[in-house]
Amino acid sequence: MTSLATRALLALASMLLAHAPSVLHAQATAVAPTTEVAERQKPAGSNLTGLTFTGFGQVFASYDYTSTEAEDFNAFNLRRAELGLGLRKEDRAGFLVNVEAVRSAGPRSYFGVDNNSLVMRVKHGFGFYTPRLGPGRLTIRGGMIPDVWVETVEQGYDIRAIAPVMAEEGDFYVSSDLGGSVGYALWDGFLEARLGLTNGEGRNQFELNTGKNTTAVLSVRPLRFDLRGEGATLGVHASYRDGSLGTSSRANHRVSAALTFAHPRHFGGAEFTQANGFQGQSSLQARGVSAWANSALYPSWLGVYARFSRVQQDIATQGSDITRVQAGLYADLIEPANAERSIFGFPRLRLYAGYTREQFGENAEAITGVDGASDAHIISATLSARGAAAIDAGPGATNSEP
Amino acid sequence: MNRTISLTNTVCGIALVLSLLACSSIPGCSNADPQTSGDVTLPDGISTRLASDDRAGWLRDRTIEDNRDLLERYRPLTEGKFRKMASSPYNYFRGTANIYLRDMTQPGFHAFPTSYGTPESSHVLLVGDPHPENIGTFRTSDDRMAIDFNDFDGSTYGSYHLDVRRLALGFYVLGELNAEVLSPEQRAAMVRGVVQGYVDEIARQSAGEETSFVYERGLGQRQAGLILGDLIRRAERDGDIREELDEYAPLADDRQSRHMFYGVFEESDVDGVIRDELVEPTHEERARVEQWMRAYHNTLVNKELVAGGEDALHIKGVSRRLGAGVSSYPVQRYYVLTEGESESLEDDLLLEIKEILDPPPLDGLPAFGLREFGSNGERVVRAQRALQHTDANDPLLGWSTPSDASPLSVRIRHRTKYQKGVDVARISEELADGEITPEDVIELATRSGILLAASHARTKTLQGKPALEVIDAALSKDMAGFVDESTSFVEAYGPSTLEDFDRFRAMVILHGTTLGYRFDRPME
Repeated sequence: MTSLATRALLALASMLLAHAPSVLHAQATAVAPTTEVAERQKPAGSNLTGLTFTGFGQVFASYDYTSTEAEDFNAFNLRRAELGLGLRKEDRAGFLVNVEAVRSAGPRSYFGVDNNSLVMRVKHGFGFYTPRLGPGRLTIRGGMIPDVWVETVEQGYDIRAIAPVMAEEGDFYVSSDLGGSVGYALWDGFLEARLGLTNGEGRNQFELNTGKNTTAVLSVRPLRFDLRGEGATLGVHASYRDGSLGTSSRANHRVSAALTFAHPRHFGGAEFTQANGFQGQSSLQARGVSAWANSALYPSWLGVYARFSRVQQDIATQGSDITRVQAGLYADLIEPANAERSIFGFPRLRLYAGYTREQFGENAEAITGVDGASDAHIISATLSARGAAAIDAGPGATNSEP
Repeated sequence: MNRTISLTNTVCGIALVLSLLACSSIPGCSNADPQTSGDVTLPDGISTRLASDDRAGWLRDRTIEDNRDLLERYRPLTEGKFRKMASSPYNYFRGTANIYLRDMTQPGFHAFPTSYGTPESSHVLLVGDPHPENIGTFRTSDDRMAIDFNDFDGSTYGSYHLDVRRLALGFYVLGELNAEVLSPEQRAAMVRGVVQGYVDEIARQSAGEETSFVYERGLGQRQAGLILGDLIRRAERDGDIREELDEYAPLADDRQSRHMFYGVFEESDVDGVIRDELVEPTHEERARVEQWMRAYHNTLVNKELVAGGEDALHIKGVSRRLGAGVSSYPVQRYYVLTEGESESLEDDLLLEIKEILDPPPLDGLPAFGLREFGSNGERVVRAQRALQHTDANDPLLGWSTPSDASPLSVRIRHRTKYQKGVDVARISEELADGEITPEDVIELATRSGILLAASHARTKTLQGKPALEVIDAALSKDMAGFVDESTSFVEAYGPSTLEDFDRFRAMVILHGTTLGYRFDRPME
């Protein structure tokens, strides 16, 4: 795989060099919701040293009432708690460390910390270098990096508090892994290519085999236009991953495609992934599709969202699918004040109220043949809060926001 | 912006992705699924297909995953566990309950859906790993002998049919081991006997009747069938003379004290595998044992049943036991000699402390409130008390957890010869010698199925409903159909288990007794 990765990197470099002269004026954009903050947040005021500290956090807290055929249950949950710190030298380089809360034991495990406490672990921890190069901007990352495909789809996905993107929810991808990535964006992100080279075991495991996952992503954003005075972007993305998993290097390949639409108040998209090798079985083929949309009908006061996903865990077996349908309303309790800098608008305090229907086919896990053993109706109230601040590191610098 | 150039860029990018796609489809270009070297010689009967197919890779990864914690903590002993698993199909079967449960609950290699499940019957308290060698004797607090399951390390809430199939599968493996003595019809009758016994007992209990597995002293050997009856006879004989004390804490030469036995108690006939060995604990281990023992007394079901009270648990000696079990072969296990009711050496007690690992995950099955137990030790003890005939089959059964935030927990039980387990090797020998007949083994299988039904029937589901009701409701439409479905499952999955045993033997040869696991850190 190393040789494959080398070849791919050379191919990418050749492509970039070939087109350098024609697009010297291009701007680079589009980074992930969480990592973009540290990499792009700009403090107010002057900064003589060019050094900027950046901090950000995000919390998804929910109350979920779950009804299954066997029982009803209700609980408060913390779906996400993240805290990140970064240091950046101007627009060119820096590092970011992002920790997240996770339950210390698995669902049936008793091997947790102080029973099953929430503990913090590293989700991202990487250095980055983002120079302008030729017509566009190059982005190089190394460390515990975001998955290049999940990050790409999330750029058009505004309801992460409701569910992860299908690629992550369906266990097709993990959202971060140890490795490196290189990306190059041309013409204000009209065309973007990314290549990730990672261990392939995800952030909760060290490398188990000599193979590396190679993921190539190509994004084209052919449409950019004003919609009611604000910019909208339509993106088309495709990806291929050559992957290996576990000590025995089982095949873990993916072919993915997505269509995303992003606007400060309206989002939508569709996503598809085909897995050749799934759940550690080389011969197992799985497939997932998803579509979503959310729109602020009355900005700040009322928005609506809907999402559908279906993961077929074994294409060869009927009834191995897991279907989720989600819909609900939301209100922004704090108006995103700085939407001009980012389509994801920092800070945000949003309250969702919604319904989820989960259906498992008779041959989907866990008790095969028993209809309804895992099916659930879920009514949720979810609070999504996030914010970021940047502080100049130079002498006398006191500016920060928000 | 120059859109003509952008088209070129787009084409180049697509070409890049396509070239990666094409490259990974070329043999040797992707590094996934490396082929097994043809240079290694495999034992007779193992084909290179079995050694290198997709299932072999999956099996290797899952076995490592299930044992990663043990490999990191107890590497030499875990390598011994793998050697033991590779030594016989039955040991392999015993060491792979999690593989079985994955096959039952995940799509891919096998699809054996049940037509006899309901959402309610998917949350029954399971034995977790019922099989012939997990059946044994107990001396109850009112001095009677009982037959019951004796290993609840894998106990969790799940669908009852998982236990039934696992028990039937155990008898399938037992049958195949004795294929020279047992005809195909007799082997099939064993498997069917398990399931038939199960459904018959569910029906019997639903009608208000119950099969008893508790016997007055001296009567069990005549009432429990030949194999279980003999087990009771030997348990009474050896238990009455406190044989465990003579073996593991013999009297000193002056007969004024007992001392712990350290050394090889029983040699193994498998290279690199310990059968029964006792070693002196380190100071750290002894301190840990003392800590466990301090917290243990409060977990007894009835402290009044321990003659001598808390003083009876005063520690007089400790040894570390090596070589017991298959799945739990590497875990910490200690024998602790305590004072007993009086200062007399005759009433000393021998306890066994055993580290308990996690139950199988059963991914995807919602189970709210599953963490009703504080630790794995508490989980298996409460499961044992719920699933056995009385909650005081072993009055000294309890658990302990460390006072710090460590997740390590232990189960503590009476190490007495009144508690003996069915031994598959002994059954094989006695079958070969003609001391027992195939019909005796079929009877054992049937009684085992009845025993499992009786165990399930006395519990409540995770939601608090009587398990008997929900199982009966799931079965009542077609009990004969459930028997057919379960035996068909064993006929299909049983040979696959034996093939997996060959795959496992091959992977031990090809990758060594760590299965090629890459350790997080160098071995200390």
